[in-house]
Amino acid sequence: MLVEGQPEEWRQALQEAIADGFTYLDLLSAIDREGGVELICHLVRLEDHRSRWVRAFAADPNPQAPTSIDLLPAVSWPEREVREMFGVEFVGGSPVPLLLVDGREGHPLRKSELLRARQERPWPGEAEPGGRRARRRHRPPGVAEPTDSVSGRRQ
Amino acid sequence: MSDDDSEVPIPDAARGTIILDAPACTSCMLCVRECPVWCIELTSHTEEVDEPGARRPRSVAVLDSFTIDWGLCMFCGICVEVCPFDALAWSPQVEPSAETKSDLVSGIERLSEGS
Repeated sequence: MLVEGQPEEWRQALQEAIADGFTYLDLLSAIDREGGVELICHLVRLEDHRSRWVRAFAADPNPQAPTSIDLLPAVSWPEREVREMFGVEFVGGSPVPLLLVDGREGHPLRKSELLRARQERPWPGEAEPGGRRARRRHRPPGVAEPTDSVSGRRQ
Repeated sequence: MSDDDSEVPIPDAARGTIILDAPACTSCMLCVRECPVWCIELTSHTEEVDEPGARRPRSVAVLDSFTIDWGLCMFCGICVEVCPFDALAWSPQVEPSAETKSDLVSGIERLSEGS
């Protein structure tokens, strides 16, 4: 069974799932979609091994959803991970960083995140066949446009 | 797994390493641009070739260098797929390990072995 909804309904959908006996947290993660982040949670009912997907879309620029730590303490870790990697604020959840070093800006699993190693090394595909001068500049994924700031985050 | 210790022959279609048929390469840059890990580098220059019966000499891109860095390559085979002239191909040979990272970079000579 799949429950889809807005971030406000996310917590309620999880609450209903838990009330229906889906108490085992299999997965809580996120997918970077156009215009926001899709939250996904997979809960399992251990008695009959049935499961339920809960999805919600948290829109940019400030993706957020209410926390579910009080409903299911196990979500604490994956919520912190999603917060760090996708920038989704779980309101009322733990603000403690999980993996990233202090002061690391940006959210590494968002597609808008620029790949730092690619800013430093020139792209080998820039050259034209026969060594001719390029008519237009080719630019591969993950590389900053000249106007982008070098902070590692697309503005 | 069998308990038999005898050597199993490597099939001809095995995807061991990628080899280059340098004369077939037109320096079109497709493999370099498609490579997701930027492991291919290619340089070329333009030469004018006179052809009998042609009004003007024809400009041809000539391959100067072609390297694959096996330290970066993930053997996805996209370069082999996109090559319009089959200059890149899979070979059942395997790429040996190396003492230094720079030894993992193969030029035209090493890439042409076995082609």
